[in-house]
Amino acid sequence: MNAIRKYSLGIICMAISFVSCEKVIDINLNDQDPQIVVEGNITNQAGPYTVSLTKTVNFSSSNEFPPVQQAIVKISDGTITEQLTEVSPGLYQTQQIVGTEGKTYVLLIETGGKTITAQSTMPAAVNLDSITFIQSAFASQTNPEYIPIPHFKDPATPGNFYRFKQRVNDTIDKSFLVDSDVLINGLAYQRPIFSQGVSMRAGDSLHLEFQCIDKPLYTYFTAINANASTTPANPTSNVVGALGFFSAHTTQLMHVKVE
Amino acid sequence: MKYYIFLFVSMLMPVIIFAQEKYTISGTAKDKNSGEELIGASVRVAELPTIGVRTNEYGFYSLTLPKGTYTIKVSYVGYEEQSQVLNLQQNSKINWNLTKKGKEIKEVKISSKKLNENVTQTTMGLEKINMSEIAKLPVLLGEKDVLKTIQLLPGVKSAGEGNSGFFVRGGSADQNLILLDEAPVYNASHLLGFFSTFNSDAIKDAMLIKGNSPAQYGGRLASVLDIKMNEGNDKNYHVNGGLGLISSRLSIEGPIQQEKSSFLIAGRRTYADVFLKASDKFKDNTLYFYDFNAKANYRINKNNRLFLSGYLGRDVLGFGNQFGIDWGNKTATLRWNSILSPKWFSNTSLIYSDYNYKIQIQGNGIKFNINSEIQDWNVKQEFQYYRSAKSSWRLGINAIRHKLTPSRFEGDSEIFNTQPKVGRISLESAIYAANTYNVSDKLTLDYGIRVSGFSILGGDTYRIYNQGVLTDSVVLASGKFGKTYINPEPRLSVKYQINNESSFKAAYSRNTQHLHLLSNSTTTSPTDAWIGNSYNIKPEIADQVSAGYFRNFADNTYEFSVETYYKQMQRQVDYKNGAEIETAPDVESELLFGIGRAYGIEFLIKKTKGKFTGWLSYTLSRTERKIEGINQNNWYAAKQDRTHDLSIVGMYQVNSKWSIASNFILYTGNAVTFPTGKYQIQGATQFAYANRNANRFPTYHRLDVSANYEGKKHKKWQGSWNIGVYNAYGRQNAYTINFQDNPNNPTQTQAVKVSLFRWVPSITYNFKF
Repeated sequence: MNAIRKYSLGIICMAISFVSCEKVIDINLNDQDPQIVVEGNITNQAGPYTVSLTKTVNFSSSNEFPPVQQAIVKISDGTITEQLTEVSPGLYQTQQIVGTEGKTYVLLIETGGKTITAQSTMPAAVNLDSITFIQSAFASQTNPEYIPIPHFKDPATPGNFYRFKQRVNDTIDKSFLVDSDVLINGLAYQRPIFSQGVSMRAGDSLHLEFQCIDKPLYTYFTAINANASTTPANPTSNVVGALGFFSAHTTQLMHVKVE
Repeated sequence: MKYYIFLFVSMLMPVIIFAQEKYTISGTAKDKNSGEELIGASVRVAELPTIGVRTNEYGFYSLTLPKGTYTIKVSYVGYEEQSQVLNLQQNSKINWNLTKKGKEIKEVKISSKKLNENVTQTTMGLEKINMSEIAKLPVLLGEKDVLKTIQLLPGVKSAGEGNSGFFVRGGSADQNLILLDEAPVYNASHLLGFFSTFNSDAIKDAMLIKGNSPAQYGGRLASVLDIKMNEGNDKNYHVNGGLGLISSRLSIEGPIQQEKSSFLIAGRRTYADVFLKASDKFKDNTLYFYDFNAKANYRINKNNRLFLSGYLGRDVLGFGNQFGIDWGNKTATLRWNSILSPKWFSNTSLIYSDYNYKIQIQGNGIKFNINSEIQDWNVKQEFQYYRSAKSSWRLGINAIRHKLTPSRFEGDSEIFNTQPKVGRISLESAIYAANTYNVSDKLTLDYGIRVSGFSILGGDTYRIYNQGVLTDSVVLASGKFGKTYINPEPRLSVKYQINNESSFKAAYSRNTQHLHLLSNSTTTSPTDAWIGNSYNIKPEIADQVSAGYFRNFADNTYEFSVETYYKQMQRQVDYKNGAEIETAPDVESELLFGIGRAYGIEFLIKKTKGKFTGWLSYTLSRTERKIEGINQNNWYAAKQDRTHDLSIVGMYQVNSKWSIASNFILYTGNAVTFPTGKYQIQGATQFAYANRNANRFPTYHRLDVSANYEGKKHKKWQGSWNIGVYNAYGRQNAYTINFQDNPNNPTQTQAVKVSLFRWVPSITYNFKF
C-alpha cells in the first residue's frame, strides 16, 4: 500500500519535476550521544548465526560505524543458553544453537553497564514455488524494465509475514521489502515486488531470498519504510534498549533469469 | 444548562420593557444589473446612527423601528450608496437595486463613505474575501484561487509550497469546515493540493471565521470557510471564460424566465496531460482534473424562492493501463427561502455531499481496486427572527446522516480476500439558538448555544481498544443506535464600540468535531481517510478565547486590527509510527490520542481606498501537541507551528487599463524531525531520531508579481490579460529535505533540499460577453 501511495505521489512529482530542483545543502543537526545498534539473525539453515554490535555516528561523519567490543552476548532458545564469541571486532557468533521453526529466541547483551534484550519467533516455513515477471509501467516502454512476482501458497491460518531480499547481477537491493497476508490469507500469492532499489532488464539474473518473519519484524520494516513519507521516528523494534533488530526467520534462495 | 436559560431570559427582558408602537421595514438588496442578491449589505438609518442591520446570506433584511420618518441608507462595498426617505406608519417593504461603481479608478473621486465594517461587526476573526481582488493577485500558474488568497490573511497558514491546503490558528487541515453552498467539501484540493476545487468564476462570496463562529456553524474545531456560488444573472445572458497555461474555464449564466429564474454553469479542465503526451517518457500517463459548478434558482412568488446548486469535480491520473487513481467530490444543495413575515425568514436545505477515491491496479491477469467513500445526507432548517432593531435571533436544527466506507480492497477472490469492511453509518445532529443583541449604543452581544450530537447507527462490529489492545467488541444491528455523544457548545462575542473608528471585541467559543481525517503523509493525499467517532474515538473539543482591538484611520482609508487568541484542544487523534492505515484490519487499533494548545497574536494593516490598496498581515504564534505514545509523551511543535508569518499584498491601479499587484510572503520554516545520528542495518544507511519536530526548515520567503490589462470594451466583448511570475527572485525554498547516501561517495551522507517552483511564469486571457 505504501508503494501505491509512493507511486501516486511519484506521478505528480514527475509532472512537477519540470520545475523542481535539488541542491545539496549544509545543515545544522542536533547530534546525540552514540547509541548501540544491534543486528542479529537466526535462520532455519545451518549456523553459525551472527549478532553484530555497532554504534551510531553523527550525520556529518563518514559511514564508518565503530564496533562494540567485549560485550557479553547470549542467545537462549528456551532450552539452552549460549554465549556468543566475538570473531572479529563487534561481530559475535554462535556455535551450538540450531535454528528451528516455531522456536522463540531471546537475545541478551550486556555492555558498558547496559542491558539490551530482544526476542523473536521463527515462523513455519512457506515454500516459494516460482518467480515470474511483468513489464513495469513506471519505466520507458522502449527499454522495458521488469518487476518480479513470487508465487507461493499462503497458509490457511492468518498471521503470515514475508520479507524479500533481491540481488540483480551483483547489485544488492537495500530496500526492505515486506508483505503480510492481511489481504490474501490462504490464497495463492502473486503480488509484484515493487522496489525502487534496483531495476532489472531482460537477461539479468535475479537472486531472490524469501523469508518468513514474525509480526514485530514486519512492523519494524514497515516503520522504516514509512519514515520516507511521514514524520520520521525510530522504528518500534523487538530490541529493547538499543536500535536495530533481531530476526529469527526461515530462508529460501531462488535464482532466475529475468525475461 | 440552567445558566444558559437564565442568560437567554435575561437578554429578552429589556426588549419586552421597551414595547411601543413599532413597524418593520424589510426587503432584499440586489445588484441592479445581474439580479444577484448582495450578502452583508449594510442597511442603516441616518437619524439613528447606532441602528443598522446587514442583509443575510440571501440578501434579506428586516429592521423594526418606532413609527416616524427616517432616511434609510443602503451601502455595499464597490456599489453606489442609495438612500430613501420613509414615513413609517405601517410595515413597509423596500427592495434595493444597487449599481456597481464604474471603473475602479473612479473610486478615488467618489466621496468616501463610512466603510467601517471591520470595526462594527461583532463576530471576531472574520475575514471576507473580495472576489475581485482574487482575480488580480499573482498566483501559481495563474490559476486564481480563493484558498490561496485566504492564506495571505493573519492567522491562516499555507500547508506548503503552492498548496491550497491551509491551517487556521493552530488547527490541522481537517479542522476547517469548508462549505460550498452549505455542502461540506471533504477534499478541497486538486492534484494533491496544488489547486483548490473552487473555480473562482462560479464564486460569489467567501467568508472565513477563525474559530469564534456563531452558533449556526459547527462540526469543525478551527475555522469555517463559507463559500457561496453565484446565482446566475436573471436579466441577461453572459459568458465568461479564461485561457490559462494549465487550464481553461468557461461559464454561462442567464435568465431562464426574466427576473424569475436564472442559471449558472461553470466548467474548468486542466491540460497538463497534453504536455505529458509530448514527452516520450510520459506519453502513456494521464494527469488531469475537471470540475463543474451549476446553479439555478426560481422565484416561486415574492416571498418564496428555490435554489438548486451542485458541484462535481474529479482528478484522474494513471500510468498506462496498469495503475490508475481518480478521486473527487460531488455536492448538491436544494434550498427553499421563505419570507414568512416581515420579521421571520426561513431557510430549509437538503444537502448531499460525497467524496470518494478509487485506485485500480492491473497487469498479468491480476486486477484489483481500492475504494473509499464518505457520503452525507443533510437536512437543515433555520429561522431568522428580527425581533427588534436591537435584537435578532437565529434558531436552527440540523441532521446529517454520514456513511463512511474505509479504504477497502476489491479484487478477484482467487487473489484477494474480500475485506469485511462495510460503510459505517452515523447521525450527526445539532440544534442551536443565537441572538445578536445591542445592549446599548456601544455594547453589542452575540451569544448563543449549539448542542451537537453524534450517534453510531450500527450495521457493523465496533471494537474497543485500550492502548492498541483489543479489550471488547460491540456488535450493533443495522439501524440500532450505539454510542451517542452530546456536547453543548456555548458561543459568545462581545463588542464595545469606543467610537466610530475603533472598537474592542472579545469572544469565547467551544467547538466539537465528530469526523476526523487520518493522514499519515506529510503532504495532502487523496487517500487520506475520514473516520467518525466510535467507542474509541471521542469528539474532538476546542475552547478558544480571543480579544482584539480594531481601529480605522483617515476616514476608513486604513484599517488596523490586532487580535490575540488562546485555544485548547482535547481528544486530538494521531496514529502510531509506521501505522498502515489503509490495510490495517481495524485502523482504530493504530490510533493514539492526546491534547493540543495554540496561541498567538495577529496584526493586520489594510489600505482599502485609493490607487494603491493592499495589506500587511503578521502573525506570531505557537502550536503544540501532546500525544500519548509520541515524543515520549512530551509536548512538541505541531507540523503547522510557525513562529512568524508575514504577508504583504499590494495592488496599484496605474490607469484605467493597467494595474499591477504583488505579494511578499515570509514565514518560519516548518517544524520537522531531522536525524540526530546514523547507522547501518544490512548495509543500508538508517538515521536515528530523537525529539519530534525539534528542527526547522530554512525560513520561507518569496515574491510574486502580476500585471493586469483590461482590454478595450467592445460593444459586447471585453477581454483582459493577466501575466505574472511566481517566486520572482527564484528563492529555493525547501519543499522537502532528504537525508541520503552521497551517490558519488558511499562513505558519506548528504542533505538534499528539494525546491519546487522558481520563476514560474503565467499568462491568462479572460473574456466576457
